[in-house]
Amino acid sequence: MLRYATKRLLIAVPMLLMASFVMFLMVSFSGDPLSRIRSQDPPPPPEALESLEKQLGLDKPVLERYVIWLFGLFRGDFGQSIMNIDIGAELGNRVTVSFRLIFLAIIIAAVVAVIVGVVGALRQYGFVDNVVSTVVFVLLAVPVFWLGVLLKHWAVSFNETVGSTVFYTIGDGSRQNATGLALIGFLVLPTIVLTVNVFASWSRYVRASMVEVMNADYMKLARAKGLSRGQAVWKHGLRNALLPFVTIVALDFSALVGGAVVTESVFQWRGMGDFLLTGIRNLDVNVVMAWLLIFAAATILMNLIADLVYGLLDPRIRHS
Amino acid sequence: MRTYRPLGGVALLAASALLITGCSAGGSADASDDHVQGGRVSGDLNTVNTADVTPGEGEITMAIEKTINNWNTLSAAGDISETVWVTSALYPSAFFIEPDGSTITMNEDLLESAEVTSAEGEPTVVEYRINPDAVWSDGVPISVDDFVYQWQVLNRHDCSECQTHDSDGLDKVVSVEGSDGGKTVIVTYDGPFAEWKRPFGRLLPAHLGTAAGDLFTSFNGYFTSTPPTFSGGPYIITDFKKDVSVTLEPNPEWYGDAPNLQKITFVMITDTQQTPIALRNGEIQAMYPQPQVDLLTDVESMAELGVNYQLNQSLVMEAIQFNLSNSFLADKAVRQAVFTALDQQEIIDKTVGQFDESVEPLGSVMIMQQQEGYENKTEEHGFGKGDTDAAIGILEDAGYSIVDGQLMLPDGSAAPALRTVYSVGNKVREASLDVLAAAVKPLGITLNLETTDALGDSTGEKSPYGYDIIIVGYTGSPFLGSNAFKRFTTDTGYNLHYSSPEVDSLVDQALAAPTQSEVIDLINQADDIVIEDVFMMPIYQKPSIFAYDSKYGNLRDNPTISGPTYNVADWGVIAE
Repeated sequence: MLRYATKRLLIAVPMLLMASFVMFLMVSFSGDPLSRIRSQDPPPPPEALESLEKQLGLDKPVLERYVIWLFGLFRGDFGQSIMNIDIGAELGNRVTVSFRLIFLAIIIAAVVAVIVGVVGALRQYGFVDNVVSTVVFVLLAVPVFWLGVLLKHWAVSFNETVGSTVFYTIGDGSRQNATGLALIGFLVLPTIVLTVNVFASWSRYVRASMVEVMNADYMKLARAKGLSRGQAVWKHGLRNALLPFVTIVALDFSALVGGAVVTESVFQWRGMGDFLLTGIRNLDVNVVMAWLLIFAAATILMNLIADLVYGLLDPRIRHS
Repeated sequence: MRTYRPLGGVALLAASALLITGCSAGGSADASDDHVQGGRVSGDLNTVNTADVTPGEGEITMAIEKTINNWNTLSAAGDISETVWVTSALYPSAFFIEPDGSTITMNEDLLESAEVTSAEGEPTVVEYRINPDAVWSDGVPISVDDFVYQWQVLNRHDCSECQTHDSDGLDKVVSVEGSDGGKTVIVTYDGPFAEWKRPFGRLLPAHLGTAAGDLFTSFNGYFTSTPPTFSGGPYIITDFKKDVSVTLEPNPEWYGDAPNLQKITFVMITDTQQTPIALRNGEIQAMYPQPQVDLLTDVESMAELGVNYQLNQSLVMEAIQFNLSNSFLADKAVRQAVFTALDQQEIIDKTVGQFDESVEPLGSVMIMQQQEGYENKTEEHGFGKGDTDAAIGILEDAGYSIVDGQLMLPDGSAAPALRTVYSVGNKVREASLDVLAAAVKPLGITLNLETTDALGDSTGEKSPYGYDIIIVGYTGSPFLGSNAFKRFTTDTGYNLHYSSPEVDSLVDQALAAPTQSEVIDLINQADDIVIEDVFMMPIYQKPSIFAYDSKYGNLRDNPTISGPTYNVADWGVIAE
């Protein structure tokens, strides 16, 4: 297992290098980072712009800038931001904000998806299954951005009705020094939005997997040996049904990150999603690169964890 | 303002219920019971919403659309409107611009007087007398040193690598000297300079700059990157959460009348679509966004919740500009025909007129409609009325002909298509150019619309065919001479393809004119020449909107560079 994990990590290094190089070129060639400043009214003096270009290294060829950036990484230097952002310092705060949202959504979505999926499978084509399936398909079709705005409007109406601020629509709470129940008021809406984004598809995976497991011979054998339906599901069915689901959860990490970018924008959380959008909006190549590194590494790590958990859940893989 | 109590206990349950049931939680009638009915507020721009407020009481939270990563508003990268609004309560200015865009008022807290002491026609000498009590928040007096520091960083020769936004006229200053313990400042210009009120805005503390290093280091480094812990204004920053909020509270060392509000928080909401929701939810009480149809509808719907708004003309004009180096457009008759065929009102109707019916066609490129001295010159020349027949007549008189819908040059060749450039993603400008393209089609002229992600680069394009027609936004200013100088004189700023010795001379005279009425007269003459030369066609002035809870008084839309916080110390909760 250790050898396998090491091998996967070693493969990730050239993958990261290649991705960083392509991304660096893409962002660098997508426009002039100083265009906003150049189009100011009145335009700044040429000497000021030259000085700024020199300070930011924009007077150097792109390849040289990439090499400088790459070697800077080994010193923990993520490079100079056009927006005067201390990239290293920002990453710490923002990763915490985003990962808190993402992992909370993963946990809630996974738990709810398992419950809904299993219930749907056990009541296949029954009333509950049909209702839940309809709701799930509707949720699958709902865009994250739209759901976020819709929930905000509902929340505001709710606040107006009760005459108190139960739900907040801006910020993540921790930066507003909110604690306790008020903090929950900040967390609820974004978490729902991101959870809904993945819960719906996950519940379908669990349901399909569970339906397949329920028809397996070993389940029939378990029932024949005298186990109740619930015992058979709990002891034999669930573990086997969750095997492919674990992989899906890990593979969907990147989809969750995409959802988090939108969610953070709608709710104005200053996480990694906002960091990426700011970087792209300002053609701030080093900000985009820092984001890429963090999430590429996190995605690789999640896939590795999925492999390891898969091994834990399935002894055949562990012993092979 | 609705003051909500945190009630997070039912948050999860309620949210789930809302999601599952898919129904709204109800109306808002009860929420507005204790509110004054809001809505559009209008009146004299400089005095609208004046009210008696409760001194030393209240808080307000205002949304700003940008985060603040650069605190030096004198720098090229830091000269962001939102940063200027926040820091105007900290960085004292000698003068500020009133909302009408014409009136320039001395900062009577900072200065006892500011007078020209030189004779007419002589190099301008200005004597500033600083309030003896004026100090920075660390107790160091505000003095000539601070004036000298600003002069040195902006004059382009003492610190040529300082990444400044503009010289603010300080490149014309030959000396800044002090007396009376630094409380009297004598500023001498290299010639007559009518716009001496323009420099010395947003003063920075020289003693902190000196402590940080030389001019380059302090300007490009310390004042840029360090959130200010100092203040020379009525408020001081007491809390800064990066990318989230800035909180101001009264500066204990403030030397003027005490500000009214005890706390002002600027919340950074970078997605403008989320701001009205936050206003409705009571998370903010004021916002100053870019107006759009949806946004105005949102704000209007909040009238019953006690939200007021002021909708005015900003000083930003939209204009269409020709590249005169293009051999086809070098012919004045072609340019005249294009602007004669153009219908300004149609552009307005299809863009900003959809949410602000008061927007009118702009007829000047140098003086905005709300400013003293404004005259409509485009009408005089017959431009902007959509007169296609007259436009065709101009072309035919000049030897052109239209054959099968194609304009033929006098030499018999076909007229080239014109590259018409606008900012990528700017739907309003795209719609404007669509109107222009449709207007010139009957003339046999084809416009190929292209986008640019660097309008500044495109406008400053020196090569003859970098663009043919471009749509731009320019900001007006009460400093008419300086504005015209940067925009319309030979080899300056934007107009690399336009040169008129007459305009150069008139603007130079305006910069040295002894009175404002003479400045206006000279600028109007120069304006008329630019319009007659058919270099630039003004279309309209963009609207501006300031929305706020009606419980607050003295909040006022100020679309100039001074911004809505120009009188932040006067803001307050309206007295019962």
